[in-house]
Amino acid sequence: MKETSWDPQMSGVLTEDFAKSLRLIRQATHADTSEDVHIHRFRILGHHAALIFIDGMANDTKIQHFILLPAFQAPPLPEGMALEDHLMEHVLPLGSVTHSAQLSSVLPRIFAGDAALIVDTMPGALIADVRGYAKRALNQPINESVVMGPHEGFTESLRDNVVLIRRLMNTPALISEQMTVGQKTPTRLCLLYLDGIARQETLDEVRRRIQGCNVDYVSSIGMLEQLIEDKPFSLLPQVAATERPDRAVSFLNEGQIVIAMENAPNIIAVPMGLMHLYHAPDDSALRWQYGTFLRLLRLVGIVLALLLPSLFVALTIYHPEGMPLSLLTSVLESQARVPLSLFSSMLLMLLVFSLINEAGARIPGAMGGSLSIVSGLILGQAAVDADLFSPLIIIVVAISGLGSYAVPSFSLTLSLRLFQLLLVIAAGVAGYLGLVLGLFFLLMRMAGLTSMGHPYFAPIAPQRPANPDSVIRLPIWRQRLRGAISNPFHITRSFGPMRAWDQSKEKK
Amino acid sequence: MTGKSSFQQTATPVHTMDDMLSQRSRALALDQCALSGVSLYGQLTIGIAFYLYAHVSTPGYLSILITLPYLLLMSLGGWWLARQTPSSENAIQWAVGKKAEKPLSLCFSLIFLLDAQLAFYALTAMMQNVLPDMSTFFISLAVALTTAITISGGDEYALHRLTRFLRWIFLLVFLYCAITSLPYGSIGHLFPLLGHGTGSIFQGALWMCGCLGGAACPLIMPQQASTHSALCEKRGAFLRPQFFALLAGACTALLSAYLMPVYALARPETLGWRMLLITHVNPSQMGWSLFLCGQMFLMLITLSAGVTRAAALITHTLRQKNHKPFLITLLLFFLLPIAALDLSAMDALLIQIAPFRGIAALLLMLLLLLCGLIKKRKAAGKEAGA
Repeated sequence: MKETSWDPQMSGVLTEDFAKSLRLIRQATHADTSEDVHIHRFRILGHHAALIFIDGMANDTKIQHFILLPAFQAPPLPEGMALEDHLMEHVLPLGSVTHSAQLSSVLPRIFAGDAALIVDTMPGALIADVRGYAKRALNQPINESVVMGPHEGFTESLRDNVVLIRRLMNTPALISEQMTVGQKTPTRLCLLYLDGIARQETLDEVRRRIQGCNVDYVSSIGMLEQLIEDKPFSLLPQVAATERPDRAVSFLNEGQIVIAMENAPNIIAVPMGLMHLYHAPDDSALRWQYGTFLRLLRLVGIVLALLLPSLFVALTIYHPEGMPLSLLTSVLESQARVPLSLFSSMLLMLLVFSLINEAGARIPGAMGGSLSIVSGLILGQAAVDADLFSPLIIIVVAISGLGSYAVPSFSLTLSLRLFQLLLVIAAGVAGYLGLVLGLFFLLMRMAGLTSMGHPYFAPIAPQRPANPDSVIRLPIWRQRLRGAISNPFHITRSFGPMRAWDQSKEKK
Repeated sequence: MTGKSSFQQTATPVHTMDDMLSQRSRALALDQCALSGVSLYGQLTIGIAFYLYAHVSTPGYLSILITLPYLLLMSLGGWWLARQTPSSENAIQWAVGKKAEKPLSLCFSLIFLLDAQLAFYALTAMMQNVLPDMSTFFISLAVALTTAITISGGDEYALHRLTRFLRWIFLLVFLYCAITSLPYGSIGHLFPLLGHGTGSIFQGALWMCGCLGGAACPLIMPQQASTHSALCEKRGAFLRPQFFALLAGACTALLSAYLMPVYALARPETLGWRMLLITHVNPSQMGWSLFLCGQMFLMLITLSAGVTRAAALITHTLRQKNHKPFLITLLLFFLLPIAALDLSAMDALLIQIAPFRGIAALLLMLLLLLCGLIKKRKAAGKEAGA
């Protein structure tokens, strides 16, 4: 674990001098003022001892059964054996007990829910894992629901999240590397990767970036994402986030590095490309024909979300000859009654739509019905009746909104919405010229973007070894590679025919 | 990562680091070839609208096909030069030495600049035709500024990657437009078969050679050693997009002749009108918008390719590291003539000087080949003497 700097009073070494060590801990934990910091004093093998833990973070039953009770019944210290070794080997029946003398490494463990035991004449402290705080039970992923596939989602507990991944990948090759980020308040995080499959240089780069986060506290995994991404000013996401363990496992199998963080109900995977944002979690669970169909639908959704409002503005204002006459007549007739220009109406409607989305995400559950009434009846029906908006504009915005909902990644949906606004403005200023210039700018930026050095458009441009699983998805038995992100030494994941039982192929 | 994991034990290593690096260089080389092919097609499209419709009319496709030997000479000449060049040098430097490299590189960069200027002018003229109420200056300013910001701000290979990403979309859009317009043409429009006569066909071919002047550019441009060797290895991958572009250009000219009667082709319309010729006969509304946007994208890529190449060559020749100031300067250089002259004056000027870039490129290539041959013979003589 990385050594972290702390308050000046935190630095210090716990020695054999019990009184001094206790005073040091008492000061550093602010035990006199913090009521939840418990210091339980007792005697063990005739020596003074103190157990320091946080009430509510540590499990009382574990403390009682695995520390205090064994301490009272401790066998005598064998001759020639150090006290700390005796306690660890013969007294405390816990799986995880470590010894540390540095206050800077003991304190974060206490505040993470462990218990520290200091004993007179014993240098340092024993830290026992007795965590037992309240946490949310395993639940369905809220934002990534699927029709086929598992229905288990990550929680806010780092340990549970790692266990969820381990449960799906029973292999010693899955490495979980513990780190901390944040200097004043270290937050635990875990790098997960497959030994031999993840690329070493990418792993080093991820470690370097996390260790290079010079910040007092990282409150969420989204904050970590912003601290380690390649281009912070880009509107596009540069990490793939998921709240599904099965998706995390799929990322690991591709050679990506998964970062899980304490208090984060989702993980992030790096490096990634545009295709990771386009793929949905249950794509592989469905038969390839259905998966391909759904992907094509999603592609239509992305195109509609990005381009439909700006195309409508460009066509209506600057290039009416590009529209069928009946549609043009209908647009102009309905627009004639509206006091706002078509461009302003479109911008306003897009803003209102984004507002409804944001309100929908923030509104308390009990008031959800009110939002439907406000958005559906007042803004929809009444605005048209009062000739504030043309019904066609509402239809266009609704269809593009529907398209954006088909995008599996929330970050991509938000960036699409931003690009949509920019393209509408460009189309409103210069018609197709503005639209194409805006699109050219956007695509060039995307083509130049990287995630941990991995090109965003890969494996299409630049071409990289890849499965036939990008825009469309071919059968699973044709997907024999892990992908360009993985270690090139182990890029192949299947040797010989995948459907080895199928004799007909062999005969042919 | 230490020790043997279960994954390492079960999976036999099938790729080495060298494999991976050479695969990446190949990918970069393929991206460059894709850009070369698409920008060639862009230049041919401009050439067809700029010159062939009015001066060659129906047999314009023949003028394009005649340029095949020229394209072969430029591409294979460039390929031979690149094969002889050590990977640490660029082809121009190897052939003529360091002293003569500067003027020759500047000459090549002028050719690329002229390519870019034509694309810039064609795009401006096209948009002027579509948006008649908008000022030419505003259009050219919007195009120049967006291109400058876009290509100077991103990754240096972004344009190559984007072109490779979009090449099938281009093909689909143009195929869709071509297929939907087919019922509205007539085979009779292809007559007279020789248009204004064989002289005009050859004159058209000369004009179109100007569009192919940059054909060898991926090979003579300074680049990374690994990409250089990958380009030299993959002759087929390098030549294919260029010949495909030539064929597509010929098909475009043939399709235009099939769609429009000869008098309509020869009508002295503006370049903008001629660039969007297909939309005047095709009643498919969806195709109209798609075609317009496709053409604009094509022109933007052609423009960016020309400017980027010119800037890269100048930067390398002047031994500078940052090419961004050159990019911005060059783009402003485009803006000035459009702002100073009106479109018809630009039209008259470009139609006079544009064909010469083909001759200039040919002469430069022949000079490079000659110097290269002499150098090779000298080296062979020395080896024999030793």
